[in-house]
Amino acid sequence: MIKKKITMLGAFAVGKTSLVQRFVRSIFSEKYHTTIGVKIDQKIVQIDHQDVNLLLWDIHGEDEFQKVKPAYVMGSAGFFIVMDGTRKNTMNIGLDLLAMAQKVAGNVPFIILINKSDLKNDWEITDSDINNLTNKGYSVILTSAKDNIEVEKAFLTLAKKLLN
Amino acid sequence: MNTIPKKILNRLLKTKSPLSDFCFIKTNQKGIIKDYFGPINKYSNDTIKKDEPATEFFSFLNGLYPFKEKELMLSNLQIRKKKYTNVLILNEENKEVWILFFDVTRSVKKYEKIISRRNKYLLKEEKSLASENDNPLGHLELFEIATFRKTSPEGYKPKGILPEWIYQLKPELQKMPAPYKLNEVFPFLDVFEMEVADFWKKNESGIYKSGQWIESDKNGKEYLMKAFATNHKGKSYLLLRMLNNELSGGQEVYQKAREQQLAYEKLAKAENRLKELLEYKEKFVSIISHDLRSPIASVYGVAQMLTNDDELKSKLDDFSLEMLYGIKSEMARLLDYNDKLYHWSNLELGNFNINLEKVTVKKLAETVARTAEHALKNKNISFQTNIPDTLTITVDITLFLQALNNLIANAIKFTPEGGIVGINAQRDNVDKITISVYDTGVGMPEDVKEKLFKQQTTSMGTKGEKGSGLGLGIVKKVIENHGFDISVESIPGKGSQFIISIFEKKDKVPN
Ligand SMILES: Nc1nc2c(ncn2[C@@H]2O[C@H](COP(=O)(O)OP(=O)(O)OP(=O)(O)O)[C@@H](O)[C@H]2O)c(=O)[nH]1
Ligand SMILES: [Mg+2]
Repeated sequence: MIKKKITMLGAFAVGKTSLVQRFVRSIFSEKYHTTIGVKIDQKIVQIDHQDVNLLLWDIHGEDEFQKVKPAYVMGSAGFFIVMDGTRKNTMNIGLDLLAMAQKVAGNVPFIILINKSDLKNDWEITDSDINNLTNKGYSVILTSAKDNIEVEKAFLTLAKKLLN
Repeated sequence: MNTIPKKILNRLLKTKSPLSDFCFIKTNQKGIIKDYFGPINKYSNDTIKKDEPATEFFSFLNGLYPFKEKELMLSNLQIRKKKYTNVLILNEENKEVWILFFDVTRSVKKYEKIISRRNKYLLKEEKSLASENDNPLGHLELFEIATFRKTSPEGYKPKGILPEWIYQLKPELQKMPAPYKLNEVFPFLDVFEMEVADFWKKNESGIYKSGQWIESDKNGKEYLMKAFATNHKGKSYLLLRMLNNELSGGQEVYQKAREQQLAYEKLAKAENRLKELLEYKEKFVSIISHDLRSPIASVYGVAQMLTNDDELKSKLDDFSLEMLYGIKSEMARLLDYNDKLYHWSNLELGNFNINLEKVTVKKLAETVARTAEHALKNKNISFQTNIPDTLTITVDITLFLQALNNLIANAIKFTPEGGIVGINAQRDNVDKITISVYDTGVGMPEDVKEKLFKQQTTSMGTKGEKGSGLGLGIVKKVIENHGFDISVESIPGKGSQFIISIFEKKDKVPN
């Protein structure tokens, strides 16, 4: 079976673990349990009648205490940059990680996920911020791990991109 | 107790055993106890006594006297049922024998557990392992470390005995033929292999450590893992270690720090929101009061016109006339209130420029007195001043007059008929002037005083005068925007005094 590594990158508490858990196990927890190091989950999906084993690398959040090791991105077939719509600074951290990941993984597909769309009223990331991202040619998906909005779509879209 | 000779002390400091709970006995060459120190009784079933043979208490000493060696170390001696000790015997130049005890019960207990686990494991395996499989790095399984030798680009052969946790975590390993494709079992190793490729290839010395990662067993229990790479005699080795017991503390620290950061961000957000809301409110008030001014002013104007129209007044009965005066005075009050509201909201918004000019305090006081003339007369209150003729301050005259007018109006409001209201001013020193507005009014209790400048307070005057509660808010804003201070002193029943402290900054003074 084909195996593909997908890396989850983003600031702390943006919902990387929650998105993976929602996709792999259909669960969500309100309680925040920060990830130390790396946690790898797997899920087999069918893309164009073909089974693909997605290795989902859920990496600890980037902050002043823990910097993401560029090595973790090595060998990624694609990656997600996750931002938290309610915290504007997670966008800048996400963009820094994007630059880092592109340096390490090269020109592989990626999608920017702006998470917590269930809290849209509290968003600091504005429509014009999102436009700026899409104008650069980035694909952006607004997700909610909590309410299961666009999560499946995000993973499948990226998986599809990896295979082409 | 005599002191420990330096030589023995030095020797003591070199021992690796923990010095906590350290104790010793000292005997002569015949083995008779001459002295002892520390919690020695925990090693003996009977209480240690001087001048008794040491062998009475410590059977391991039997046959050792007379001592020939200068030094003797006995490790991990089980001395009582659950007591283990290291014993160091030092023979001091044929004079005295020092027998030193170091409690090692705890470390032995730990070791005991590991050994018994290993024995159990060996028994289970039954056949002893072929020497080819021995771990050249030592019995690392005793420290819960799994050792593998890299035998091909993808394959790893286990070395020695693998610790039990690895089979619990990855039962599939039991069925897998060696060499194992470890990165299929632990995908994390994909990256680690890339990281250490050079280290292995160049046969570098030392240990290359991975970052931490998390594995979970089939029950979802999570284990924190770390990998190490090393080279030994030209071969490449991979070590896997489970850190669960060691690192739960680290997790807590990160967790706390991040939760705190999140809480802080939330607070900052709420604060900004509140500020926006306040600003919105003040803008709203400013616009409304601005728009209300001309209709109120025109009604007031009409009322004034009517009350000045003698012909009309002669046609009205007393009741209607009273109503008309009522309308006029209420409209006047409303207009004043509205103006204050407008000023206040603009002050809050910072929508004004301070236009500094020099002016004598005396002149300001005269203007204030004129404005208050009617109100003073109305309550038969006398107005007094005590101000040096030449005392000059630099202020925005319009705003500052507004503040003084409010203070005087306030003073009149709370002073009963026949009382006194006044303004004193003096130079306190080279760059400080104080102006105080005082009255002989009802004063105010402590709790009112405290709230005075903080929130809108309002109460009825001595003659039933109503107020907007905005007056002091305006005063405070004006004073603060000049960089001055205002405070209040008050004695209930005697009166109040508002004190403005003016600090003269040289750079602020225009020529
Ligand atoms: N409302 C809402 N909360 C979410 C959503 N996704 C995650 N959360 C919450 O956000 C917090 C952080 O989620 P995690 O998934 O642990 O975030 P993370 O990016 O893995 O964090 P680190 O491991 O510390 O980097 C948790 O309290 C989640 O319950 C979402 O879509 N909506
Ligand atoms: Mg996480």
